[in-house]
Amino acid sequence: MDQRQSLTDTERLARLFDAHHDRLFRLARRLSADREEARDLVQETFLRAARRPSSVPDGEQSGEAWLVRVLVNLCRDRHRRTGVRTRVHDSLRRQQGSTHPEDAAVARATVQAALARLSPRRRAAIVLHEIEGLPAREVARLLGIAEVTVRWHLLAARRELASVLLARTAEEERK
Amino acid sequence: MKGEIRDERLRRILRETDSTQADAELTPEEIRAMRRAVLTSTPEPRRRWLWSPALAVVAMAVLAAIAILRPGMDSRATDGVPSGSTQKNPVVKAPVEPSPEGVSRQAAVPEGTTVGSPAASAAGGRQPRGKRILRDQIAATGIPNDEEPQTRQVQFSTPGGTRVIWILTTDKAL
Repeated sequence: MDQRQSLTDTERLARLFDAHHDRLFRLARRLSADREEARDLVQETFLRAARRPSSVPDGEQSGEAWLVRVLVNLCRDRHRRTGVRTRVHDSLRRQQGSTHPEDAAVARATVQAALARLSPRRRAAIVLHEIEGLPAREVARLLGIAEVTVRWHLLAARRELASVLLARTAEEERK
Repeated sequence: MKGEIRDERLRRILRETDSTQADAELTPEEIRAMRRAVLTSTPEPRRRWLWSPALAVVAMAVLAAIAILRPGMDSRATDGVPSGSTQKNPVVKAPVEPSPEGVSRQAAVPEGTTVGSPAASAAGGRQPRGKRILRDQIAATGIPNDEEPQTRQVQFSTPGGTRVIWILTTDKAL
């Protein structure tokens, strides 16, 4: 009975992994500074599911939402632990002053730095809504928060991003 | 209106510089390694014999209780417990007096030490079987009465009331 239960857990986890690893990696990549960090985040998310299979809710959508929440929480933990804001800000300065800038790379780094200034949940909300194109209701479901809270996060995130990105764009246009 | 334009510009910038355009997916090797790591980290199935520590504790408690109660039972046995319980009486060294008939004498058993002592049996007019055997054997071996060896008598009584009496002599005749 117990062995059968464990087999079920393993199979369920395998299905969960196969169904969501790609989507989670994309989200992690958008929430993290680099590819390695994104891969670590995805792996850690699934490891949490593996350690406590009973905590993963049944159902495709509920499982996905659980994974997204864990991923965002992991981002938040890392954000707190390593002081990403400072690091990325420094990185942005270095990128701006680089002698071999490729325009696309610089632009990407700028956006990454701007996104990194947002809190992980706010960043997740803006990424899911603006880049992945999910409606606010779906973002709320995935993040496990109220839709009005998502809208508030989106508003605040846009304001913060605009202060960095649009100002920079205007500066470049003046040049 | 201005806000909408701003939002639209932001959306365009975010999508154009989306980091997943550069490295959108995990490689098959990465996926395989991650999948293996995840699936092998599932907890071990719970086994039924995880109860065994509890059983071991209970068994230890029972054994400890037996070990504590056992000396009390032994002391009660020496104080003359009814013959209902199985007990092993201590070996009693019984100096045997020479007998003119060449029959082994009844062993001197301390009072109250054994259940069903030969003395009690003899009082009922019935000789213990062991004594008869010893007498026959002594007669068969032809040991003189005055050289009769020392005799040891061991008595057991079973819960069913059966009494077992061993009479051991110091010579090699038996």
